[in-house]
Amino acid sequence: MSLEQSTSQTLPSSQSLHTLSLDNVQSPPPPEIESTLSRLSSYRNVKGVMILSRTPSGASSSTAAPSPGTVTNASGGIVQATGNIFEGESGKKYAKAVEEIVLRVGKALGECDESDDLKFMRIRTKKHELIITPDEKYLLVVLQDPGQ
Amino acid sequence: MSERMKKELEEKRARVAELRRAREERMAQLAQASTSQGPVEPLTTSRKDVNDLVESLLARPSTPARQTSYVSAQSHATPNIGTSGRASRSTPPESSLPGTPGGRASRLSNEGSTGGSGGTGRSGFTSMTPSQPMVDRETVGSPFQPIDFVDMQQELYELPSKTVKPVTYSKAIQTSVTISTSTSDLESDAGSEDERGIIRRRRRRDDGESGRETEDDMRTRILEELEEERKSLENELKELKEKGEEQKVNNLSDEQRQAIFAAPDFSAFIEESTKIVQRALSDGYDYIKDYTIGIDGAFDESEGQKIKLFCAFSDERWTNGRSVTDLDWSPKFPELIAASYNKNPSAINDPDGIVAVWNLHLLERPEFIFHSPSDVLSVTFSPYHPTLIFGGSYSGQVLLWDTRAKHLPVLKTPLSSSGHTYPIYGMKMVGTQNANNLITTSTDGLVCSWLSDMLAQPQETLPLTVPSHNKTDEVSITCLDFPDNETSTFWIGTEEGSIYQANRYDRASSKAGLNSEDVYRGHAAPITGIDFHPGTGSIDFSDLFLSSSVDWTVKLWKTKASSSNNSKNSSSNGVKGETGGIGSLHSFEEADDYVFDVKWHPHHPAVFGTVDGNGKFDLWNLNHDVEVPIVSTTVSSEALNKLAFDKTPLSKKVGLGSSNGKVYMYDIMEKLIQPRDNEWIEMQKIIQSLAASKENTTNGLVGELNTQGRSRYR
Repeated sequence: MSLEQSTSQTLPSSQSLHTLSLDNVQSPPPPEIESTLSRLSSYRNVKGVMILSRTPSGASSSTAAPSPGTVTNASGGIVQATGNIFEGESGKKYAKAVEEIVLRVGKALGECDESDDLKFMRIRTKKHELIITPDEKYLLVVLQDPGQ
Repeated sequence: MSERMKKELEEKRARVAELRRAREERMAQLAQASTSQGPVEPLTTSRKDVNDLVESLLARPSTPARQTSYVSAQSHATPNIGTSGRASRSTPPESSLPGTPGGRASRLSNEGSTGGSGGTGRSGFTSMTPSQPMVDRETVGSPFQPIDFVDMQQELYELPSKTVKPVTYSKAIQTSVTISTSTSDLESDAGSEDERGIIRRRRRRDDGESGRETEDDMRTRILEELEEERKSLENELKELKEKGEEQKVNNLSDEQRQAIFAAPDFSAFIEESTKIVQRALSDGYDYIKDYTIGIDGAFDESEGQKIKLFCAFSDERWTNGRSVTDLDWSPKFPELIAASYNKNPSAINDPDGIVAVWNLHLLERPEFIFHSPSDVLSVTFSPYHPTLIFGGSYSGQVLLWDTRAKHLPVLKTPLSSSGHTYPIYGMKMVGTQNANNLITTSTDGLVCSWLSDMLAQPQETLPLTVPSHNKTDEVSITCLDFPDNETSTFWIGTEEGSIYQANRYDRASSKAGLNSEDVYRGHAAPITGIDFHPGTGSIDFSDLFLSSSVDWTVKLWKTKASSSNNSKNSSSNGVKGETGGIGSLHSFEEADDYVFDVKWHPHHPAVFGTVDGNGKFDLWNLNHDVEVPIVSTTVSSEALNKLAFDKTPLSKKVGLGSSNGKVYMYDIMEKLIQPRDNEWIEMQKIIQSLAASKENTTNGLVGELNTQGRSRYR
């Protein structure tokens, strides 16, 4: 309780943003995509599904920064997220982590072989498994609990 | 710490610089003096100096300050003019100013003497200039010059022996320099105060020197450190910036999201990536599973079962409300199976017919979906082009889909009289890699052969008729099959229940078309499936085929050409008053509903499977029992339309196409389908005895062949 209060006090802006993002999540994607995603999350082990829009690696931060609101495809962010673990703050953390992982791995791969591309990742952690399919523009993350 | 040291160093450097300046001045003055030989102007001061000198010589310990001033003057002069030799002799405690070689020299001479003028370190530089003239005078009179150089050498020798110098390269040791200086001071405590002062002085000067050295080091080091710090700060800043950005863009506006949703590449991405993810999810194996931890429910109940359900393929969007009409495994990718579907009456907007390609590693959705304007009744992978899939439709169209293309067929036959205009139930690809044809049959009795890349019109057409039939000459073909490695002669099942042999081409013995002489009679209802023995193994059984029928039976036949009792059969059938026909070797009458399909197992010579209208799947083994199946499983409450054994080397899996739109995938216990070596010989014996018993029955009793044979052959 106290924790909640403190967060709401310290981060009033993020709180409002948070609710905004929730609203966003509630506005449904096209039915086909919706059904595809719901099928993914209908797997017993799947705990969350998230689609990220990626920041184009070529664009420097300075170009993306001034127009975060107007740029449509050039900015990264959560396009769609389902499952408790991917909602709210923890979802943002995962989004950040995944984005970073993909970026770094992609970079490292590029150093090994420039013609190669990162296509698919499974990251098994003690608790979960992250299944990541990166694309140039988008990124699909599925978190599952394979132990069950 | 370093600041303090820096300050010190700065001071020292300033002092040194002053000293140097002073020396230069003196040198200039000296030069002047030597030329003028006793200048007049300094006389006034020199008198005082003389007095001082006398005084100092007489009473050394008195007035150290004055003495110092004098001595320092002297020592300063030494290097330039060479009087130091004398000075060292005469004035032991001169104690020099730091930095001058004379200082060192005097120090040497000092060592012998005990007396010392304390506080030399305090000697002001101011005293130097006044003393200068006196020195000059002394210089003039001094004849001993080289001795001083000896002193110098010794001094130089002593310099490196100082412990402080080499350790000034790092910050930490620089701090200890001061300590070591003090310790050296303490060490020299035994010496006079004067000496100590000298030492300290010198030390300080040395410190100054070494400090200068370190300063460069330090400067570079500090610069490096600063650079590093700057870099790390920059990085941090960048990260912060990035984080901030991400934070910002993490909340995409609705417009942005809609824009993304609308982008065509987004849906393509979703399509592809979810497929990949689903494959990964279907995998279902936990790679870090720990087998040392006991798991509840240690035994899998289904472990002992002869067959068990592996999965059931269905798709809410596409396959619900439809029925599976045909199945075919990919010859190239053993995990892919194509299923054709008929119309979904409740989905008016969807295409009438579809073909779904299922993947054993992607359980929840089809790998591909292909559309057809009409119900698809038959489907087959091209054995020679793994990406091509042929379908035969209810409207009579032959459709070709490519897995590299989208949903719609890449090629299709025109709906014209040149091709089929009736439903295509039978379809088979024959030939070789370089010369192959697609043979299709429609229910009006037309057989067409097509080139796989040219569907505009059939390569050949062959209308089949039975002119000898008493009511109609039409043959409604429901199914066809070619014997193994046969491309010309094939057998067809018809709606009336007879099976005919037909040739695509004219031959010496027979013309192209239906061989109305050889009628395989026995079924009393439409034939639903024909399957020739795969002909693998040590003994060739490719003259055997099975047929399934709506009359609840499955029959085993031997083709006439190789049938030894051909004539007898004909005669016996002739007895029945028919136009002629061939009886079956055996009839399997275990089913209590329409039998919709029958297939030999691809590798075991005696095993075949049947599916019926009760939703039952039966697995038979002729070597084991010819009366009852070895396994009988009720798969679903609805009818099973088709079955297909997979094309892997073991063929453990069987796909069952249901009229509820599902494709059930069953695993068959390996033991049941793994043939032993003697399996073929046993099979041969069984066939021979079946034939023999049938001969007996036909000879004894007319009609009721099968039931008789069955009871006899139990």
